[in-house]
Amino acid sequence: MYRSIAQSLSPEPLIRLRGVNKTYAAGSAKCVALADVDLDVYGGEFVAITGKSGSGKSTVLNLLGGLDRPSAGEVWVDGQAVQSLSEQALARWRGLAVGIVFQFFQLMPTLSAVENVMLPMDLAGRWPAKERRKRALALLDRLGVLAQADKLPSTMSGGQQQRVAVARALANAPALLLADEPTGNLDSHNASALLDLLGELVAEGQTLVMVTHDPSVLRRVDRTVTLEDGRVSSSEEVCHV
Amino acid sequence: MFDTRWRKTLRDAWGHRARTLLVVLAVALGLIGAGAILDAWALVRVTTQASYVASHPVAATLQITPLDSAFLARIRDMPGVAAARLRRTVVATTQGPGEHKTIVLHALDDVARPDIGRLQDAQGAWPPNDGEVMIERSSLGYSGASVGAMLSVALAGHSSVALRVGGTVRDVSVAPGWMDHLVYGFTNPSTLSRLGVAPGFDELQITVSDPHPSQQDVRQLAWRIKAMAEAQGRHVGRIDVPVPGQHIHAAQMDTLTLTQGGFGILTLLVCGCLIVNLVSAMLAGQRRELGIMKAVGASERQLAVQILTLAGALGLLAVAISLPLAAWLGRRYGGFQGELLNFPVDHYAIPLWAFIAQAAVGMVLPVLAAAVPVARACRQSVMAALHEQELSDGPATVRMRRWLHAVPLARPQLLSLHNAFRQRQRCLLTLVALATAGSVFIGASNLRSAVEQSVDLLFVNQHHDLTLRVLEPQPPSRLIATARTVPGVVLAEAWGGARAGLARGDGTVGNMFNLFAVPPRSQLLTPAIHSGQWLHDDDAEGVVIGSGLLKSDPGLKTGQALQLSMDGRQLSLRIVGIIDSGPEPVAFVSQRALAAWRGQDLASLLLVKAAARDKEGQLDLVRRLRDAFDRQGMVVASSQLLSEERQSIEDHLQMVVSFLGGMGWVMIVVGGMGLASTMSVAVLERQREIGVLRAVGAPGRTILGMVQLEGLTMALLGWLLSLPLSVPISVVLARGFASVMFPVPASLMPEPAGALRWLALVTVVSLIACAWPARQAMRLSVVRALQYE
Repeated sequence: MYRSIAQSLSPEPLIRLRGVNKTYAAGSAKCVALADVDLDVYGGEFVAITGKSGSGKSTVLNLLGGLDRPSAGEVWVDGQAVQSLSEQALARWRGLAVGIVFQFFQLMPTLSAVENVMLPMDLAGRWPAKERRKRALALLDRLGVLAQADKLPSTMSGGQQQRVAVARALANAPALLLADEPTGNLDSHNASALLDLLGELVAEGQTLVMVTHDPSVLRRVDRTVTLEDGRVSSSEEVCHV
Repeated sequence: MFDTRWRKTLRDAWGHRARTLLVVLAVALGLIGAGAILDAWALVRVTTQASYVASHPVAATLQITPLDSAFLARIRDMPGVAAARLRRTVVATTQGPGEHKTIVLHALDDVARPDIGRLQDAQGAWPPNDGEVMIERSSLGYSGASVGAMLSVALAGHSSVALRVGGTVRDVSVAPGWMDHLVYGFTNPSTLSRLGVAPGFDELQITVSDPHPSQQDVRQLAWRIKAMAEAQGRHVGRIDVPVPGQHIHAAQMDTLTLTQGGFGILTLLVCGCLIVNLVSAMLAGQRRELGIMKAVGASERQLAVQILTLAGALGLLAVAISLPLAAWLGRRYGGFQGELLNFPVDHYAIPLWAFIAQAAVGMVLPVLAAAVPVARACRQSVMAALHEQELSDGPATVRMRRWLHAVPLARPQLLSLHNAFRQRQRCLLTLVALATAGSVFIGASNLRSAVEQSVDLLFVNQHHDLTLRVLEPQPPSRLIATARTVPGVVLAEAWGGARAGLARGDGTVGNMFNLFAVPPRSQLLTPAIHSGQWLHDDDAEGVVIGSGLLKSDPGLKTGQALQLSMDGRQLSLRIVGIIDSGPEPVAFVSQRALAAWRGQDLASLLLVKAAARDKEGQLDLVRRLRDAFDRQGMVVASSQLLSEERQSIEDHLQMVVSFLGGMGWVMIVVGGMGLASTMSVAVLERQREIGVLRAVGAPGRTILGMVQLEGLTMALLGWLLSLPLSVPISVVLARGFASVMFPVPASLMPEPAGALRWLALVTVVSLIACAWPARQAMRLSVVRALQYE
């Protein structure tokens, strides 16, 4: 349903993968992680990538986030051919165009919550220096962790840390939000709250691609892309009742 | 104030305070060692330039009699002469309680002249009043006198006269009196008259108008003066022309400082190894964070700038610590070098450029050392950074594992040995640091031993215990007969002597040295023949030169003809042999040769072997010998115990060795810090493994033993590597030392005692360096270790 709305709003997909292959060297052998993957994701879509362990779902996420490069094929995100960028340009692009939420939160342990959110802004220099803290506080407020703003990650619960991580991912207002098993390290209550929050963001127009194998998550997304042995085995829209 | 990147950087540094402090200490230690040498060198250089040149050093001294103001006026008008003065020099004896010392007294025609041989730092009344003597500062201590006290001075053949020590003055043109075992004094002509010296001056001293003359230019000018004096019927004796603009010891001190500077750089390199290890360790701990930073948009350049700026800032902190300490040490060492050169360094500041150079090195060294590990860490892909590093299984690792399995040790010990080589780069840098420190330690030990051996060799050939010099040469038989009347004299020999110089092809004469006329079958001298042979009884033309003469004339060879200028005449001789005779330039001829040359057989030096082996007994013998010679109407000009001479030489030589040994200790501390940091990181990286070992039943002491064994393995390898590395170090040290002080043999084998001392030391260093990491590993909780990310 959302996909058709998104598609009607932006006829060009935000993400386009064409003939993407990814192989890794494992000693003298080669391990095929992705084989001829084609995939389109439109702006405002909430897509879950799922599959068994080793199916290649995390590899897709890494390619979308510019954390890795394809062995062959093209990865286009928001009109940018990611594979053609130099390391320097890729880092800058990543800071501006993509926000990533990790399973283990991956907050900087020596920075407070608000500083963690300000970090991508400082790196990209997108917002005026004086506005960064204000924006970071607003994001924390939006995610319900404003009270934790000046606390270090080690003093926060897992749910709070993951919310801060989402705020950090949104810091530079990226076109694409990527999440790698964001609920994998949370209890059911915190996982549900986080998914509600992500749903709200999508509702506000945020494009979100999430890697998961949590069945409860799959009910909340627009579309589920299933990978099997490095290939897309199905791409099904989810019917929300 | 700072953006979040810098806040993170600062907090990370603070969070790992111990490691940060180690980096600062490593840089600071290296800078203190190298900086102290640089400061000392800069200070001495400034002092040499400012103080020596400002003194308007005398370019040439000619012994001419008679001298008068008319002649002086003519010299002053000569082209090429900038200034000229007259001087009278007499050698007398100071008579202290139980000891006689030689005093060289100078009287000048005009003490106020600022443009020639200016004396400095006058303390007390200057110029000296009648009946007063000003002592050259460097010989005041040796003289045993004090300012304001009376000093009994006797000219040979005259009664002693009590002169008041009016103060001190510094003459930068002479070597320190304590080193030469001479008291230098300045007085006026009327005081000399009180001592019994005939009126008049006997030395002409000049400076030249050319600001940068060559020694040859000055020699030629001196010979023109000689010709003019002789044309007027004056007698010209000794002519001394030192190397212009350069203190007699300056070149040697430069060589020594350069050698030590090399060790300063070596210390910095060892510190660099430590910094590479520490930064690598820091980056290993932050691997995941760096990956996340890149994931949220940090570029490689941003990360590199962030870490390298921290390295530079830590360097700056190290500079703040090291600069004052290096300056303090440098000033002390510079003061010591100044003492060797007889230059006052107290009033001079270490030049600004020396501080700037140290600050620059202090900031650049950590940045340079960190550059490679930082570049490697920043280039790592986000994927690689976020995944745990697996143990490499390359062919080298497989080979190593196979080799280690053949070692008959229990599994935990085998694991320790394997762990020691797991991080090859880190292991290599630790070994380099330990081996370099060890090689300098062994090198310094070799040098100490070589110096002792050389001094032994120098004195083992001399079998006398004391020497007496009589003022007026006497027939050798008379000297010996008088000595034999004194109980306690086991053996006595009388040697003749003269001052001679090498006559050059252009008619000039080189600097003067002692020529001894010795009995060829001397029982008190066993010459150590370097090449050729010793003198024969009937050797009328043969001369044996001492190795010290080769310093100024390295081309001299056995069989070569030698023209000596002596007593104003030329003597043709042939070099029949070269012997090891220490640093002083000396030569030997047979008594028969000198007697034939002079037409009479006279000697002025008496060598005595005493029955008493202790210093007190020998000093007592000196007193009794003096009395015996006095009774016979022979005036003893000076006397010296051989043991004192040896002690003085050893003290001076070992001071330099001690400084080099100090550098070795600095490097050992840095090497130990390197081992400690390596082991800390190894424990940090292997928390999970340690947890597993604990979980499967390894007791705490097994873990402790494993860490200690791993450290000890590296320490022993470092020791092993230091043995071959010490050979080139020992050669460089021996050459540097020989150019300055004294020829010593360059040892190609590490001195066993030194190597064993270093083995014991490196074992202790390893146990201390691994104590903290081992304790940390032992106390690690299994749950925490297995949770560790």
